[in-house]
Formats: sequence, C-alpha cells, structure tokens
Amino acid sequence: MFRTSTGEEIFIIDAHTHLWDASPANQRNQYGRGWIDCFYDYHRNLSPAEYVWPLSDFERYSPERMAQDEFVKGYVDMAILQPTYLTEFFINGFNTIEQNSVMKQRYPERFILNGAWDARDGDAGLEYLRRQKDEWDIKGVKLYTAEWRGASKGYKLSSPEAYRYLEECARLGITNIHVHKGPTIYPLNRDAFDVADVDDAASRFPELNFIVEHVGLPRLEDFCWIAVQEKNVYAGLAVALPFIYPRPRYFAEIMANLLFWVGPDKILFGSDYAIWEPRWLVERFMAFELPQDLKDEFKVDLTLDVKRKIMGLNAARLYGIDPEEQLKKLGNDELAQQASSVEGMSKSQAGGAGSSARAETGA
Amino acid sequence: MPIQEAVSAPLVRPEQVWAAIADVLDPELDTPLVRLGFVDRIEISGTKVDIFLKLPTFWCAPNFAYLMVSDLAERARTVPGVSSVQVHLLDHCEGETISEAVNSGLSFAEAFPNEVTTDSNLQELRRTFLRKGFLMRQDLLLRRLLRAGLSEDVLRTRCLEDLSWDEAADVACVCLPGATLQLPTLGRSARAYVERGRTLGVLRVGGPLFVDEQGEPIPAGELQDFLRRLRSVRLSLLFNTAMCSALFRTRYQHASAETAHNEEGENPL
Repeated sequence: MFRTSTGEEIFIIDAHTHLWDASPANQRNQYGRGWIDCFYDYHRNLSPAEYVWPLSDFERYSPERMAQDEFVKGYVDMAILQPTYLTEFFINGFNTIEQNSVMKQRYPERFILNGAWDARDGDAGLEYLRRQKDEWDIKGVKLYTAEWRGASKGYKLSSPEAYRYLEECARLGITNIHVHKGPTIYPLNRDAFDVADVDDAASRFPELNFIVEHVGLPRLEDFCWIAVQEKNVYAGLAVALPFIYPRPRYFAEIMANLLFWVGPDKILFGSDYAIWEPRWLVERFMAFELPQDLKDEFKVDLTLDVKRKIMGLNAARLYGIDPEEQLKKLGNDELAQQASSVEGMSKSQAGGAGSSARAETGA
Repeated sequence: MPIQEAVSAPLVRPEQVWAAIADVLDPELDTPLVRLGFVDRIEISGTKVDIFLKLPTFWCAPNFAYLMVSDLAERARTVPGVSSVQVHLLDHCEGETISEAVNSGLSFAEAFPNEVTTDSNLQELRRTFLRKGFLMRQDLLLRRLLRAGLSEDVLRTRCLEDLSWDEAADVACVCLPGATLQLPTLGRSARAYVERGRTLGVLRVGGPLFVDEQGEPIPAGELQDFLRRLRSVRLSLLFNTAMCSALFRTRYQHASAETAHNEEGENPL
C-alpha cells in the first residue's frame, strides 16, 4: 500500500518478480555465469546508487529478504512470481515454479504463483502443465519463446505445438499468458525478437490475456500496433520502468506511447525483482508527471486514477482479486505491521511520500 | 626472403586501419563501432592486422555480432599492404565461433547451421535497421522543422536537394522559398538520413525529401499520424543505442546509473 501526500491509498501488485538461485554452486556452465553477470549489469546500470546490491547478494537472496523488499519497504501488497527455468544454464533451474513456491507457502495471501511451459516439450509438457494446475492452482504462465534447448533456438507462439498448450490453458482456466518479448537473451534470433506471433495467438484465443513483458522493447512500434488490433493484449512495464531514474524523458515518451496506443486499462506495473527493487520504482512512478509537450501531442495524461490502474487494479482484474477484500486479509499480517512502522519512520525522517530515506537492506 | 624487400615493404600503420573501419556500424544501434568504443584495440605485426571487439553483453545477438565482425574484417582488408586480418570477438557467448567463422571465410549460416536466421535474412536484418535509422532521423528533422514554424505543406513540398549540411559544424540547412533555415546539431543526422535513404532507394534525385519507408510521400493531412509512428520507431532504436552503450560503460568501466547515462544532449529535440 502506497499512501500519497494527500492521503490517497494505492493498492499495488508487483506483476513481475522472481526468487532465483544463480549462486556459483548452481551454475551449470559459463552460460549461467554469463546470465547472472548480464542481469547484474542491468541492475547496477539503472538502479540508484543506494539500491545497488553486492554481486554475491544478487546471485542468491533469501525468501525473507524478498518479502521485506517487496511488502515492508517496497509498498507492494501482492506480487506475482514469474518462473524462468533455464535448466541448461543452472543445475536446479534459475527460478522454477518449485523454487518460487517457497514464497507462496510462506506467505500465501501475498503471492500469486505462475507456472510455465515450453511448446517443444510435447505430451510430457502438457502433463506437467496439468500438474502445476492441480498442485498450485495457477492462473497464469510465463513463457520464454526464445529459450535455448539443445539445437533449438526457440519457438513461435503461433506454432501448432504452442496452440496445443494454449488450448489446454484455456481449458484449465489458466487465462494469463505472460510472454517475454524484451531485450537480448541468447540466442535472440530474428523470431525471438519478433512480437508478431503474439498477434496471431491473441486473435486465435480471445478468451486468454496476453501480457507482453518488457513492452516488446526494442520493438515498441510493432508491439503498439498489435496492442491496438487485439483487445486481449497487455503491456508489462518491467525493464521499461527503471528508465524513470536515469532517463526520465525517455521513460515519459514510452509512457505517452503506451497510454495512447495500448491505453490505461492494459498496462501492468512490474519491478522484475530482484533486478530492481520496488521501493524506488514505486516512489518515482507515483511522483512522475508527463511533460506538457507529450500531454499535448498524445492527448494523454498520467493522472492518479491512471496510476492506480497501472499499479494494481489492472493486474487485480486479470487475476480475479478484489483489492478491498484483499487488503482486509493482509491488514493484520506481520509484514503489513512492519510496513506501517517503516512508513511512520520514513515520514518522521524525511517528511513523507517520495522520500528515498530507508533503512539499510540486510542480506 | 631478401632483406631489402622486407625493408621496402610498406608497413601498415594503425591509423590507416582505424580510418578504414571508422564507418563500420553496429547495425542494431545504427552507430559506428569506433565511436561507440566497442573496438577495443588494433594490433599490427608487419602486414598482419588483429582487431579486438567488445560488446555490451555476453548475450548480444550472434547474428548482429557476426555482421560487425565480418564488416570489420572486410574494411580492414582494403588497407594497402595488409596481408591478413583477424577479428577477435571478446567476452561473448559465441565469441570463438563467430571469430573463427569470419576469419576462415564461413558465412553465418555455415557457422550456425541450427539458427533460424539464414544469410539472406541477415541482409534483410541489416536493411530493417537501416530503415529504422532512416525513420528515426526523419523524426528528428521533421520535429525541428515543425518547431521552427514550418507548415505541413511546406514540409511536404521540400525535395531532396533542399537539404544540405556542414558536418564539421554539425549544422543542417534547409532551402525554403526565399530563405535558408539552419538547424544546429542536426548536421550529422542530416547526412546519415540522406545516406540511408539513398542506400534504401527511397530518396531519389529530384524526389520529395520526406517519404515513408516505401519511398511514398506523406499524404496531405496525415503528418501527425505519421509522426506518431516515427516516434515509436525512434524510441525502439533509442532503447538499443542508449541501453547498449550505457551497459557497455557499466560492463567495462563499472559505470553506475548516475554516470552511465547522459540524456542531456543526445536528443536534439
């Protein structure tokens, strides 16, 4: 829960988080090392200095730390765990649903646990999808169409193999399909960059929602085009949002584009934790205003109502969460109490919202 | 070998090689590699040249990396007296494969038989990014001209010959009926705009100065819609240029968010 300087309460769902293990012991090969080093460069390239972690903390962090960073310091009410398997790079996987489920077990009301599938896994993969539904009642999945599997360098969401899985998702009520379409992950061949396959799949499955993570950067123009055509295509802000700190003008231009083409009801906040911590993202986003020239050109605005939708209401609608009911459930948990005492502290230290004053994050 | 011949053989100087590769682009970033700082060093031994290339991440897409390595090799071979060129892609997930392929004359498809990308896709990819670079610079030029108070009609009726530039002063000049308008900080952009437009075959002698990616003039009354599309192209390309060059500074110089980015001055709008 974020409270504005005028006392407005903002319900927050962080729609893109991970609990990963990239420690040297779990790295299978040089690609595992290369993976986490690349994430770490993104982390320190866009985080304010006081939010940069030591590499060893970044490689592997505890469930307690994640809960603190999200719900106590980070204003977040609920977080969605998006798995990334990468079993070719990491012995036990990078953050599989099994790894992420630790958070769900410990804080059941705080987390939404998403699953994953890969269209190349055939019948066994479908069986695994059904098992994820049975065991964790998943309502969403995260897909990496560019993931490397032996000689294969990815698949298309519009392939017959992928359609079998999407049909099964529709049948099981797994309605939220988060697709990674963002910056470079090897091998990123031509198709993996491309967002056109989302277009085909979204027309074919109107009953499913397709959340394009990282808003298709660096192919924003193609993504915007698709999002205009398809009512069930959404924009996930992870990776785009941290630009708000070192490149506010660039971020403003992206937001103006998204508000114009995609619209305020189809944009979702996500930190991509632990690449970036939600606290500074939330504070800066809530304080952010579009420059006048962009408001004039695009005839859009980032009002408090629009921010409210982006920060939580849109994700709540996709995942069938009633924010008021949810806040009642969360109100008394230990994390909520710690959060209100942190809020009181930073108010007395720095005079309220927008302050970056905070306690040091323990490892 | 007679000693005399070895002494009189023209030695290759590093600055010749630097000059020869100065215009090799990172196709995805649409910026010369040398200006980006990605060419780490050049070593010369007699007539043999070794070029060392570094990229912003371990994962930079191999198809683009291949294009850069092979373009560097091709240009360096044009330097008089050079007998062989080896390019070394450092700290990259496919660095050895790509370097060996280029140095032994293998095409991308031969080096990566399992990749979806083929050699003709690779050329298509290069054109796609030339097109983006063309549209991005058009966006900059059009917005500056609109801000200077020019009407849509005046813009639509400019022809290719109306645009000139002074690269050293970084100023672009646009001829208008009875006047010349100077646009500071757009000289290099103007040159790159025209070069890319001509390579793509969309800018033609005597033809309109502002055309879409197919070479069609902007229809009357549709400039605002056209500009919106241009802006999203520019934002995508800027994501590549800004993010990748900033990541490079973080990867190799440990630059932080506070020092890796400089939004001031990179956007002439």
